Amino acid sequence: MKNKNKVPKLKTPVFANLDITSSCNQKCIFCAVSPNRDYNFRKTEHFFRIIDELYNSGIFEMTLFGGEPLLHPEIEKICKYAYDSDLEVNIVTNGTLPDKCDKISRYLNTAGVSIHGFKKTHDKIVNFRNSYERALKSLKTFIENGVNTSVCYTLINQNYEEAPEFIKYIFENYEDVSGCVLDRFVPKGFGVKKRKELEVGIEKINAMLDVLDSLSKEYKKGVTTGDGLPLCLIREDLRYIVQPCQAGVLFTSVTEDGDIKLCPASRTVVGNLFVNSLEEIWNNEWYTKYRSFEWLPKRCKECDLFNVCYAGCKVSRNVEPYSYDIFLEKYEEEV
Amino acid sequence: MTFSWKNMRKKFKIRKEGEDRYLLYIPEYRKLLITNTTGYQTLIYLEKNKSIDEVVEIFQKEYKVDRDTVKKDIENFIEKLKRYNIL
Repeated sequence: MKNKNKVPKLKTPVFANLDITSSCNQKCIFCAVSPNRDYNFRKTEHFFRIIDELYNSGIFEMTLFGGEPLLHPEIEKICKYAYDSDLEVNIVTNGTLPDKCDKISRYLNTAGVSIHGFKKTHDKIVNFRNSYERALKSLKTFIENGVNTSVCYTLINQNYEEAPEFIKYIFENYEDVSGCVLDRFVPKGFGVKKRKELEVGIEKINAMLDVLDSLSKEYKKGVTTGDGLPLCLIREDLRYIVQPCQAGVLFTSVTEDGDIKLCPASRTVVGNLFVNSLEEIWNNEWYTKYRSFEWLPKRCKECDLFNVCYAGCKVSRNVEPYSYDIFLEKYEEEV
Repeated sequence: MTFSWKNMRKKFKIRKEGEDRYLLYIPEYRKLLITNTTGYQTLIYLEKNKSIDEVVEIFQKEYKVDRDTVKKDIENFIEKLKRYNIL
């Protein structure tokens, strides 16, 4: 059997997510992270130490994540510190705090504002009244401040039908928006129990990518996926839209406690930045085994697309610490 | 021809990765490129406002290779930098 694994072996990752808080003011029905409402925030200096370690480890780009990162009372200071440390700073936010979007814009490389449909659909999905208006205000704020800004749209059955119309609306009314990031539903966190109700199948995802392809060409906007998908199951001419899952290869996820995880949706902690350096963790036994990809189905290991696909989402089956993509389950007998 | 290096440092980030490998990251395009020591040295010389001919001459002397090959390689590399708005 010929293993096609030629993924880059880096001494440390180049991209990192940093969870600023595990609290969120929304409760999205599909959320893979299942944040709380504790509103207990780590001290700003604590994040400075994490940022120092990330920078010294050679991280190029850091994405502020959560929970809702803008809830942190000193998010502006944290952004500034990262920016001054010469890290590229991105944020993914639910956009419910437009004033804070304004304050941190100057430090950002990119911003993603999560909006999952028109008002009625969006507010119902996120369980937050008037979230829609706030999110659009935040989107406008980032754009007007010159930040490279995208709408992040998580595709579930509840917003599938209106997705084309909504994305078209955004492209038409927010001329300077960079594009749309289409996130797939990952059955973790709040979404576990509602999988059957929420999950969109691979055929419908292909159909939506087809729509995105047309909208992207018509409005000259960028479209991409936020999570990996097995490229072999994606129509060939649409594969360019799919961003491979870079977890464990180029990317790592850091919690507010300094814990290192494969990705934000993963539950398994593989090290802590206050105990070991990122380089030590990245090259430990756990990560080394992960990067061997020997645990993947034969179909993936022998696939010519492997090195541009990385076999889709590793947490989509809700099997810890990682597994092959849920859309590959029908090939399970080949594992 | 001398290229303007103005703000070039802000347009990319670079880190050494192994003996002869450098990772070049271009935030504007969110693009990660891999280059070798020669590519890295070219960037340093361009930063010092050297012209292509001067860079070619340096490499020609250092590596004792033919001028046309070196020039073509450097021009290709510079073309890539221009594509990503670095130069």
